Amino acid sequence: MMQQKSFIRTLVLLTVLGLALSMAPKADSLPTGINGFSEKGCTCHGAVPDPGVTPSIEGLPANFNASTTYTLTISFTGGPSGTSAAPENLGGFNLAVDSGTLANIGEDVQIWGSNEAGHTELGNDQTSWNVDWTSPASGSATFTLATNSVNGDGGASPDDKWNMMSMTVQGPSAGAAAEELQSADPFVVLITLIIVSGILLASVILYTFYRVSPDGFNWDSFSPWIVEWLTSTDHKKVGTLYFIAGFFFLGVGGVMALLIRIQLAVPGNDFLTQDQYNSFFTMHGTTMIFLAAMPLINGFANWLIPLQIGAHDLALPRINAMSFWLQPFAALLIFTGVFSGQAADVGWTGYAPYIVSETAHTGTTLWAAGQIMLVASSTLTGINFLATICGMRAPGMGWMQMPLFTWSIFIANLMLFLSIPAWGVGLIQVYLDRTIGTAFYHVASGGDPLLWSHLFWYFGHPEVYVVILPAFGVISEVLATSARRSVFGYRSMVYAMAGIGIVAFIVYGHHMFTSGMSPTLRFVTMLTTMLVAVPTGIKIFNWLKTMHRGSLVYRTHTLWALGFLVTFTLGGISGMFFPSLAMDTHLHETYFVVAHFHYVFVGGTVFGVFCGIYYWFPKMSGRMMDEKLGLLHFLTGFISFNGIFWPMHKLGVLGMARRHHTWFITTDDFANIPAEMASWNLFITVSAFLFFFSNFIMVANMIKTVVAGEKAPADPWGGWSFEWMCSSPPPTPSFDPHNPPVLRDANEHIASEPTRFGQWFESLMMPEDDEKEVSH
Amino acid sequence: MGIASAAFDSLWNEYLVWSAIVGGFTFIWLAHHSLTYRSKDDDDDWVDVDGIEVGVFPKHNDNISLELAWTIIPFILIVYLTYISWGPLSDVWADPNDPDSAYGLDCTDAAADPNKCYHIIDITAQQWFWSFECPEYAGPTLCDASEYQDLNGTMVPVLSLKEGEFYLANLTSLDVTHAPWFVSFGVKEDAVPGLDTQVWIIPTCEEADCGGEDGESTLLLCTEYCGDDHAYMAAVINVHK
Repeated sequence: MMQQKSFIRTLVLLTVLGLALSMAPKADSLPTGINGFSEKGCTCHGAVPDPGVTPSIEGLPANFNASTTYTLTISFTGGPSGTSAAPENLGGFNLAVDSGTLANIGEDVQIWGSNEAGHTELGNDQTSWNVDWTSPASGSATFTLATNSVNGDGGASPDDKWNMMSMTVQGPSAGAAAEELQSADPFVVLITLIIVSGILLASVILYTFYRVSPDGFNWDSFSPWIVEWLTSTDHKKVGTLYFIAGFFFLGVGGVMALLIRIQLAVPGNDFLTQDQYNSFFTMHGTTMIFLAAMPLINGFANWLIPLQIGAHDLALPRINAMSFWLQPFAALLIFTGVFSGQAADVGWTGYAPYIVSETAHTGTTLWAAGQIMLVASSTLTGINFLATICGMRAPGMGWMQMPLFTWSIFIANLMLFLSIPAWGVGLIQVYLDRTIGTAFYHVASGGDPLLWSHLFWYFGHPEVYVVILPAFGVISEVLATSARRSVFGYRSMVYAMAGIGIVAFIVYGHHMFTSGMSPTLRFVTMLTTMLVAVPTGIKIFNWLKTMHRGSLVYRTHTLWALGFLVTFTLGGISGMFFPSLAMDTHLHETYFVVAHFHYVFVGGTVFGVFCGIYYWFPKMSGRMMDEKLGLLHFLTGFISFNGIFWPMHKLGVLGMARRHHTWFITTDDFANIPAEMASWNLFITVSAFLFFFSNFIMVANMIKTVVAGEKAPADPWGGWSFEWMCSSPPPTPSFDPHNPPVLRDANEHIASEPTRFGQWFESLMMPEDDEKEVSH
Repeated sequence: MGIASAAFDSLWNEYLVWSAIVGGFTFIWLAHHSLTYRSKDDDDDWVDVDGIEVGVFPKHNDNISLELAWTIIPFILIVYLTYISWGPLSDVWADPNDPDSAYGLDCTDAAADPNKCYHIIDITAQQWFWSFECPEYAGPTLCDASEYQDLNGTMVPVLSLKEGEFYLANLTSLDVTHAPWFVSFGVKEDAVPGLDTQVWIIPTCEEADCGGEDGESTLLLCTEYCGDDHAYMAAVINVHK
């Protein structure tokens, strides 16, 4: 037996090593220019290069000699240049070279850094310019030239045309010793980290599997196990898959946030190029919302909805498995651009017409394709949970006896189901615009850029409530159980959530206060947005009152729930500044917005997820989590979270704009962010690292719990809903479909019959055949 | 704060006060309840008031007058905040053709009051630079956009404006959506291709003497994401007396 065990251990080790060895070289062997050379700084006239303009560089040898100075002549032909009778300007150019140094000869050319040249005011009236280039000691040099052909009306105009070219010349080859050490390309760093995380995740799964079933590594017992996970339609297994995917992408999105924060730690940093920075914040937003938050919420919903309503599974288990399996493939599409160095760079909002313009990265097409798959996945999920909650509740559970978490998932999925198709339509339009040349968003052909904003935010605003409502549900369950009371104002909680769900559809215009949308529409959405504060306030006060005369048991999930109350209240208060239109014209698209939505998104949704993990993990795994590690995670996470996002409020008001590759501190020439405020950016970066790593405490806690945790009883915290009735972990099917549990109601004085409205709604949900059967 | 817009300032201060009141109220309540109603170690005297039991929907714990109170009182506060946010809108969206609006008529209009009229600036956005066009009659003190200045390695245009004058900017874009943010005036508006948008600019200075001879310089940043050089698509706004 001992011998067999050590044999299996060796096997595990070899598998992990083999995986590592087979994957690691792929990152190294990527071509050196994974992102390619970026054509920085072309302030070209017009969006699209025009083939009628021909730029050229003369004076370059086919092979250059080491450290020699060459005089280059830059010129162009074609375009509108010189067609005007009395031309004020004729043209302009921008030349960038990746090695060697450029120097100007006359006053008509200026040099930025040592590797970029452009014309000066004086050089505006020429069509050819001269510039000196001193070659490097070895290697090759790639020149990228853009020229403007100007029509001579004295300014930039749409009639001006431009084009660009690039050429590479070879020099003497360098010996191995002369090769310079290159700084790591952040894309390579990201890809390596993703691969390493993938390997770590795989080893954790293998190790957990090994600990649970040491004999499982022979193929006969391994293959049914892995096939079961890949094909399962059981709501608990699919829920676990959602959790694994969600946490994996939470880590990936976190790494991207760290790279962004390194770039912003000091002003004028060049850790990331603009290209990379733009891709990273796009992928960060997309990953966090669609590949981390939504799967984590679906993980809870999958696990708990059937358990809470006393059903044996979801209504449509195969559709459920399909909803999940669409996600990894959607993620692959979304990330394909990253692996080619051309990741989508459009922001998670993907505003038109930039998203369909030539200047957007090619990865944007696949980004849109992946998002379309996610829309399909979310629509299916929505219909599934609506069907389950409407039709499969246990006897005795009327609408107003549903646990609040079930209510939150019901309303969230109703909203998602009604809103996400609109965005799907927009994405398909973008996809067609980018692939087969339709013109939904091409302005020159009569497309309407505001249409995208409307379609996006019609979905985008309900979406933010879709991710926060389930957190509301979690907090309602946790606070009530921890305080050992029933939640204060159950009915007003339900009405408040429903109110948020309805109002969420008519407020989206507040994202477009500065978009040139009609003032009437802006004004109306200002009023409705203000209104959202009322139901949200009701919920917060109800939670607070729930603790009144209770007996609050401090566990890790209690701490996260209290932490949620603090951060979500702060996020809610900062949210009240935006609907006030005269202030929004200043605050829109600044770090004040970044601070606000991270307070509600991380301090709300993610804290809610953490809270739910500590609360339900014993139910899911059958083992109790370590409370000391939990406390450590809460303290480090809560403090570093506030360290990241609190200072951003101030920086935003002072003039730090969102989605900017850098920021500007006040100099003698102009005022922006005062120097004494600037160091907050460094503080934020340090906090971001602390927050990122603090979450590994929870991961360690989860692994420790699964491997060596204490066995959990069926109802460790004293909750009342059905999930605490079955064993930990629950059996499959979760409840006997022929003999479901029956919910009793302690409020005997309240008639258990549904109200007239409830009866009508019920009749809509029940097929007529069933009713006839019942009446027999 | 460097925010010189009067509308912004008064709203900002009022909102800060109400934020502090609401936040303070909530956090004191939270701190009090979470500390007072802790479970004790010797937990014998704890009474299960709501009769929590697995499989039983617990007793309702509610109080209709309290719930109505924290529906109605926040609602009144919201109505008040909406009311004070409403006021500045007539200035933010003043009608350029209304002689009675805060900024009067175009100064070239024969009917315009010379003491209360506005000048029209055309702002054209393009990947990735701004072009400003001053009215033809403007001298260098009133409006000037011929200078360029170095902003951390990028040459950006300088727009000089006069304190106390009113300006209406007509915004257009030649390629994708951009948005000029006049950081110190607290305004921004999208420049959308194929759409004409407008924004009022009321130049103000933070210091009483408007920064002396050279005037006061602040930044204009692009605040609608527009591609590679988005962060460097800036301009310097110079205000002088």
